[in-house]
Amino acid sequence: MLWLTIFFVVPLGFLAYQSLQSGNIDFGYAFTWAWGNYWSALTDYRAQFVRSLEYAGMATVIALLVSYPVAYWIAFRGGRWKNVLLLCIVAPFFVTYLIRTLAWQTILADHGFVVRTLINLHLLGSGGRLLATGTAVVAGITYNFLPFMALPLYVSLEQVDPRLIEAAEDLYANKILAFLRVTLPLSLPGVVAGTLLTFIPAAGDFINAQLWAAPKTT
Amino acid sequence: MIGNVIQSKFLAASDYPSAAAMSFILMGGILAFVAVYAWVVGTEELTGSAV
Repeated sequence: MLWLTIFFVVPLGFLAYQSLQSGNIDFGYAFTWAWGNYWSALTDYRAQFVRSLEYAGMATVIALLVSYPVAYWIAFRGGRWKNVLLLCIVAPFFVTYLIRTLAWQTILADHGFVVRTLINLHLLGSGGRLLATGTAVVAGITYNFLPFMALPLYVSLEQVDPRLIEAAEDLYANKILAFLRVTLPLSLPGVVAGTLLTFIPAAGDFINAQLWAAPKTT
Repeated sequence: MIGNVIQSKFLAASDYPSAAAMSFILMGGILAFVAVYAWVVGTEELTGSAV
């Protein structure tokens, strides 16, 4: 409780106090109940707010679609390789987020290896580029937050009792029906935890947009 | 994205009040999204099955 008060409520309260101030950097700020700040922020940057939620939502859905099969496979078919495979998912965390995004920036850059190859293979037009597009930002967010989605999914899928699936099959459910009626509902807590863990930081993310795209266009 | 706007307001433009206001709007937006999501999925059912 004390922890939460000191490290969450106090900064948040200070931010709230600051958000109602008016003035500028040269003459200092004064607290004036300036609700206009909220109004002008909303009217001036509506597009960016909407786009943030949109991109975060898209990245979350893609991350879910990609990591569900992966987590499923590790949980049910992983066998003795389970820990190694999990390590593979966590491995990117051993390098900082910022460094990884920067590294990908050089790989995918306009004159980089990947873009040149794609142009030579005529998969991309001659002026084509991968970065500085909305797609790049969504891809970046998806990439960076994938483990946050995969790990809770794995945990909830791991807890599914295989005997329940066998029982469903004994009761004449085929594989698809058994998945839809048994495995999927039991893994829903993981899906919810994963989507929240991905969506919330993704909506406020600025590193991906800054490094993989010109922030003005995104 | 809005994170970039907030960052540049805080660091480049030193416009702390608008940046703070935007952070709160973002928080509110995310909260609203999450609330709707939790309501649609039905958290009671989830916590019930998780325990």
